[in-house]
Amino acid sequence: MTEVVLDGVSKHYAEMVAVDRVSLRIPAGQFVALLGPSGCGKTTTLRMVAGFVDATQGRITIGGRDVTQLPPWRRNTGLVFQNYALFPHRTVAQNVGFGLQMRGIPRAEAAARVATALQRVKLQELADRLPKQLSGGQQQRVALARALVIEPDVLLLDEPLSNLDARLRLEMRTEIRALQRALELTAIFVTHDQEEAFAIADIVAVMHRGQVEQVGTPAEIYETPSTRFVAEFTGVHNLLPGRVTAPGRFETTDGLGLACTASRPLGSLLGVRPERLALLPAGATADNAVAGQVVSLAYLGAVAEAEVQLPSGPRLLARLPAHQAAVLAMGATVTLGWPASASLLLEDAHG
Amino acid sequence: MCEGTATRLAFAVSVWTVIGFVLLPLSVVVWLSFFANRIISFPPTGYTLAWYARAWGVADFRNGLLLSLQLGGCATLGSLLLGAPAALALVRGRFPGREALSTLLLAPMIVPGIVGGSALFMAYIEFEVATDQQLAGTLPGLLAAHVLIARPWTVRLLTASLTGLDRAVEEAAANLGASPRRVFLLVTLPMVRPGVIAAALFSFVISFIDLEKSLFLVGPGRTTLQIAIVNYLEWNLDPTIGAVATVQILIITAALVVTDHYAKLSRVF
Ligand SMILES: Nc1ncnc2c1ncn2[C@@H]1O[C@H](COP(=O)(O)OP(=O)(O)OP(=O)(O)O)[C@@H](O)[C@H]1O
Ligand SMILES: [Mg+2]
Repeated sequence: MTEVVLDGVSKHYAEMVAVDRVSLRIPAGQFVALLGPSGCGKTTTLRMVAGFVDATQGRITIGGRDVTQLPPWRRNTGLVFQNYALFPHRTVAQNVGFGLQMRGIPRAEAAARVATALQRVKLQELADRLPKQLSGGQQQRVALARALVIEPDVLLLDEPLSNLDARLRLEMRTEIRALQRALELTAIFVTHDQEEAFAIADIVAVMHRGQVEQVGTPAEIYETPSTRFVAEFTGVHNLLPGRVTAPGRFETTDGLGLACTASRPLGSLLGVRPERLALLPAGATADNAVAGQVVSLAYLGAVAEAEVQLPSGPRLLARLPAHQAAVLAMGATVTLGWPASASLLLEDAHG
Repeated sequence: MCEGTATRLAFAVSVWTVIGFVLLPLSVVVWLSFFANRIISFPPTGYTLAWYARAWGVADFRNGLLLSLQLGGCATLGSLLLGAPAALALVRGRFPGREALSTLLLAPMIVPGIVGGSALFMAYIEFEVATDQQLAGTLPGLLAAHVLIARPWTVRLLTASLTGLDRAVEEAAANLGASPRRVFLLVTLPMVRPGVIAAALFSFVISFIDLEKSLFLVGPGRTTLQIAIVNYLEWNLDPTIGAVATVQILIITAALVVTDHYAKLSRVF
């Protein structure tokens, strides 16, 4: 159990700022997801912790030890690569045993630890295979076992699931999470998939343009995104510009008066998640109710997405249970409602 | 569809024409090495293996073959020792002039042998004038020339195999606690081993078949097999020459077949 701290860490490539003053404290035994779109600096941040990228500024400590200047082979991190990066000429057992060999662990002990690690990832039968004789999922398990067997101070995972099919991805992420809990490891997981990040992590750090925009539990990020970027990236599709006129009152630029919670006094945008919008039957009331015309409908299976054009200008995207949406027709007039607590007030920082 | 068939037929015909064009002289040489005739002429009066025995009996051929094999071996070693660091620098290094260096290192491949040979000869003479140290006609001088012609191919083959190497695998090793030296020995080297073997064999062949450069640089009593053949042809035209050529063809073919097993030559050139 080791705490990992990034203190004002930056990486500059000539003019390009890949990572910009990232500060992040990862408590011992916690699972942190770095979440953000392509090119936002997630991999670079992770590789700075592993030691493959030199930080231009800042300090990285692992378990209180300043590792900023240490080469990768002295850091005792366990890195799992997106493409697995197994040693092609070594068997599964030899792959897993490599780190122990480097640490000079006696053969018998190493063999026992390799066996345990392979058991953990359910690969004991395949110990003598070569990597090319394994499926992608099995290769990923080997990579995981190889990183775990050295008892790293921190487990680092760079989009480890992105090459797997949807079902295996779910299965692996549950397994990774279970192993991390069982071994009480501190872990950093890089992904651009919001659902994956929320599902696996204790703490999510949302990155944008090299900076960490918000750090919080999945629920905190989901309930109270702090910036427009975080809101949009985590699925707040409906954003209405306007201003707060009184505590709990928001007026959009096109003259719509909406209710929001009074706890946030300011905001130039009001956001609503599509899944928080509901179809209001005639006569029903809600904190917010707006009428409009259905302009598009898409069935996604369990849910359907409907776009509703408001007379005042904006369009709202609603994600509705499929059986409700089934009665809708294009061009029909509907009323959408949502509670004041679903209105998210945001500053339009990245206009 | 009809057109497709016609195109494919034309393609097949042209491919086989070229292959035939290449193979025909080789097969004729092998064939006539078994002729019983004293002077090469058609049709053969009978067949014999006597020319192979006679070829081994000719001191120039015997010594030429030995020298060529030794030179090939040493040139291979030399070109690997010089070529491997060069290939590493070219693939891994990020320094100004990398492209230029690459072109320079591969240049001996495209300079005609006669030109390169005469240039080397003149350089050696200049060197001798300046330092009083003889190079032309000496074994070190000859060996240096062979390293020079083999090395570009080593660089070419090793560059190809290093370029295809997944750096993440080396990083994985470093992450697991391997120092750079151990990463190189335990991970990089095994991964590029096919490329190294291919480079070694190919360098050997290139040195073994060289005639033009060696022509300028051999010394008295020291001729390579190729030069021995040319010398012999000046005064004789019997099937001995066919026997010598057949042995050569076998050595080269064997080396290339093994090379191709390790690195698909068609993918490198
Ligand atoms: N070696 C490099 N030289 C120059 N720029 C680089 C280098 N490595 C990364 N970058 C730049 O730094 C930025 C961050 O890259 P990084 O790989 O960390 O992104 P990422 O968040 O992991 O993206 P992805 O989800 O696509 O993997 C990108 O704009 C990238 O182009
Ligand atoms: Mg990345």
